Amino acid sequence: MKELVQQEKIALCGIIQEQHPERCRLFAQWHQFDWPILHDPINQIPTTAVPMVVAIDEHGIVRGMPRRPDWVINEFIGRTYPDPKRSNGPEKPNLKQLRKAAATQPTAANQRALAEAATIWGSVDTIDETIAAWEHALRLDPGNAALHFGRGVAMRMRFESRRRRDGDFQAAVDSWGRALEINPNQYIYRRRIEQYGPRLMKPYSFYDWVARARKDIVARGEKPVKLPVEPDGAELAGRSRDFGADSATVSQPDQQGRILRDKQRLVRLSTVTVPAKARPGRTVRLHLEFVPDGSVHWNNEASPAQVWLNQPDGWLLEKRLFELKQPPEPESSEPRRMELEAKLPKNAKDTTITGYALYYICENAGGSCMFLRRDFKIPIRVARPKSRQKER
Amino acid sequence: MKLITILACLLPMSSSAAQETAYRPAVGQPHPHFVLPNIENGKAVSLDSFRGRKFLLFHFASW
Repeated sequence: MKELVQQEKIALCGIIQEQHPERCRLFAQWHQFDWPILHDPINQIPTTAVPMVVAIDEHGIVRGMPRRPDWVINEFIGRTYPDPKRSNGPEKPNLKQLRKAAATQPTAANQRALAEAATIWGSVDTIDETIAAWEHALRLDPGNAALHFGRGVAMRMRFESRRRRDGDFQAAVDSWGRALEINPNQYIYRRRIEQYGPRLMKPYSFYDWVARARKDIVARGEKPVKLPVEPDGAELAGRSRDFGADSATVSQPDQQGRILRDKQRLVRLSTVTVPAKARPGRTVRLHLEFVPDGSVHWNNEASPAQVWLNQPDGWLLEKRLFELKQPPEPESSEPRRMELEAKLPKNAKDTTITGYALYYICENAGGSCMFLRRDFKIPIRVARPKSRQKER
Repeated sequence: MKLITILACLLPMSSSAAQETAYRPAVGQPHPHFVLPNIENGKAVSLDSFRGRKFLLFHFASW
């Protein structure tokens, strides 16, 4: 096939629906793909399965979905196809015009056109406007799965940017979950949730190839493509058939509650549950993130921060006591993240998992250092079983 | 069946239909038009960029 491309008898083009295009750039570098790969983050071409190969002739007409190279080499390439005189499609969308159309005629279609174009072609500087366009389209067309999915993509983009707001990640997961509820056969929606979800729901590990790719690329004497957002946690976790629970003997670090509370919320906490609605008998993945509020920083010269979670009756937590990694430098202010999985009982109802974190922080001004406890609650919504309709 | 259930069944679906039309390229038909950014440089690449050349379009993922 490479020779045919070099002889210009055929061209290759890829389309990916992933949230992070740079990861695919690294993948392409690793495999030495030298053909264009296009980014369709919102699944605008509503792909329902990957991988898929489509053979398109010189006039833009679909000629086959080849599963083997034989047909491509022996039939497709050598054949001359009739020219149906197809006119050209639209050019790259003009965001200015789309904004004007959405403002003067705020129909669902105009809002959607703006939202899609702004997500694909816009920048993080206008991400708030992009999200507003998705939400406006959804108010007008709330049953549209593609709109929910697109909103989720934009929320996750904002979560990963300097413009992030509290709740963006959970909002993304909620949106993807709603999209999948409306269209349960949409493979791309399902995979997006699984990317951040529990191991029992995973078909495979999503990005554990990244370490190997970097090693191989460096061995070739090249510099690997930089990833602005590193895969982590769930994205690296492999599939699991079993759920491993904590030892029953682990004990709480502050059972009697004697440590002073962080009443001023000097460390902010956000939590996300994936999927947004957990299923009885299944697992849910919890994401926690602790961030100093700007007036304090982590004190890394003391013991690492710890997190304790209480196991609700009938539930199984993968672990109850966690230690958050800290860097070698004496002070830092980075977000500290952890993930864990919880298995629901078969009769599970909406539940709150409680716990607390213990951490050493120091004031930026004044330099006072403290050891504090932050109590928290993680609400878990449980999907209601769909009742069977009575047959008439 | 209760009256309220009958009425619910008669209500129109949401304006866009609950499920979008899936991508099913039909042999002999024009491929749906697309204009998307190249992951390498952000430049627009469209279906029409390939006019005059046969090409294979791969839908894939790095995961």
